[in-house]
Amino acid sequence: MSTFSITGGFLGLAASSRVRLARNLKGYPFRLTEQQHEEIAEKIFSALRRNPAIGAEFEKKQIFPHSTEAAALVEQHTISPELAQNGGWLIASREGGVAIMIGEEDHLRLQVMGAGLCPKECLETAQRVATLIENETPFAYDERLGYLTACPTNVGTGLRASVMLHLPILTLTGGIQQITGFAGSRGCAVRGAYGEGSEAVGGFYQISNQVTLGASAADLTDRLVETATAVIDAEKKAREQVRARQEPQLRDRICRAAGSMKSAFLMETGEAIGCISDVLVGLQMGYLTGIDPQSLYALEQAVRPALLGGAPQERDEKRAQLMRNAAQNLSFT
Amino acid sequence: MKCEKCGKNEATMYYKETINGTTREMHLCPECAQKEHLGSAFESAFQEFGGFWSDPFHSFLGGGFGSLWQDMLGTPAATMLDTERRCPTCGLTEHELRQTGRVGCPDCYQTFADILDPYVQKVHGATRHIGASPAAEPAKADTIDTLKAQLKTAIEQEDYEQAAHLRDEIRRLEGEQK
Repeated sequence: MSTFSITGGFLGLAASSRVRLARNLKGYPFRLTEQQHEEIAEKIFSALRRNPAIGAEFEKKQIFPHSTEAAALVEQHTISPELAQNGGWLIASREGGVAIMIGEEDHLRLQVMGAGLCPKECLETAQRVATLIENETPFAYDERLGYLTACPTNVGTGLRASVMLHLPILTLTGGIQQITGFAGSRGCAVRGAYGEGSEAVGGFYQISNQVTLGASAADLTDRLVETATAVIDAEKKAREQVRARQEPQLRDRICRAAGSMKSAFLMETGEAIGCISDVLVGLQMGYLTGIDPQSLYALEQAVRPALLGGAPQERDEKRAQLMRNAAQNLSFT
Repeated sequence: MKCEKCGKNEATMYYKETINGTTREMHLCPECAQKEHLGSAFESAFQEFGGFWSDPFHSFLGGGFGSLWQDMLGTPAATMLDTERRCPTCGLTEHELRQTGRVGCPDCYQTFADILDPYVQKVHGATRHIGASPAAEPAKADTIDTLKAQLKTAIEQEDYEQAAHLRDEIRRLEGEQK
């Protein structure tokens, strides 16, 4: 078990939580040269390594722009697409959980991830790691505006806390627009699961705080948890409504997905994610059993093209095999 | 930022000149820049450079390197006049800021406060940071008192991790004083 392993509630509907702090080192411009990136990566790495409790957990590696490894790290949500494109450095805990990106628009983006609904716990870890770094190398900070960032939309706390929710039935019934409006009124934004500008595949959405200034990081996170909980309730209600009105169709769809998962020999990404999404609903609604949601979330990431590697047909075969392996104990109730 | 000369109008011109190694910087409004004859300084600088590039050998043959350097440093030939406001620390221009929406360095928030403050207010609905702040800089004379005040606040806010950190820092500084 990793030092930074964090698990929260609502595992069936909240896939994961993520907290990101944007920070810049004092005395540098925001846009750095490659050499300065390396210098800063080394400063941060040695600041962490000096800590006896967690220092040994971290490793540092260079991210080469447009590399296969970078694309795979994006699919694992470890680094942002921007870092994969521009290149930079990654300082991460060996078992996952904490990832510090150097080379984004801010000097560092400190990210902590956990399973289920746990942004508060992620924030605590992020702040602990940030303080360790800050004690060694001060951050750009202003009494009035807080932590200073390259983009004024991140100034203050520099916090972006998000929860990945699985909302397939709200997607089907057209409820997402309402959810977006509701979240907006609570200072939260709703996006497709792969960050800004990407579509929601398989009904996975990210809900995150919109503002970063004027409320403490803890308050912003609390508001996110409240909003996410309300959205989860809405998805649950929508599922029960569909069950009440169209149970045969619902059950048919779920069981077909389970059948494909258990028996297909070739499967494209879109179909695989659709199956995983339907099977997740089946588990939550009691139509299926024998597999836990966490392994399905892990599978949802593992079947992505860059992580699988190889030629397209080869990938489709590998993907179907991963699906069959995961579904070994999957059964109908 | 207000004009440094008249103190009334908005300074839209940034003027920097280096004469014999001494750099002078001014933020001026267009009227005061006109009064200071900076417009003509720019023109003459341009002509000097123009002449140099169009007929480089003349200078070399005529007076040699010594007089060329003398000319460049001793006259407004080395004057740089930018009609646009710039961050004195990183050189980001107002135009670049407006185009990209990104600031160039921490000091830009000060330089372009007239643009950024209303923007920040619009985006966040707030203008003041609340919450975590870095520990005070150890160089300040009142460091220990500041830290003690922060410790009190941290305890009141039940931020015990921060409190423990502050307590350790106070002990370390008190140890240094003895």
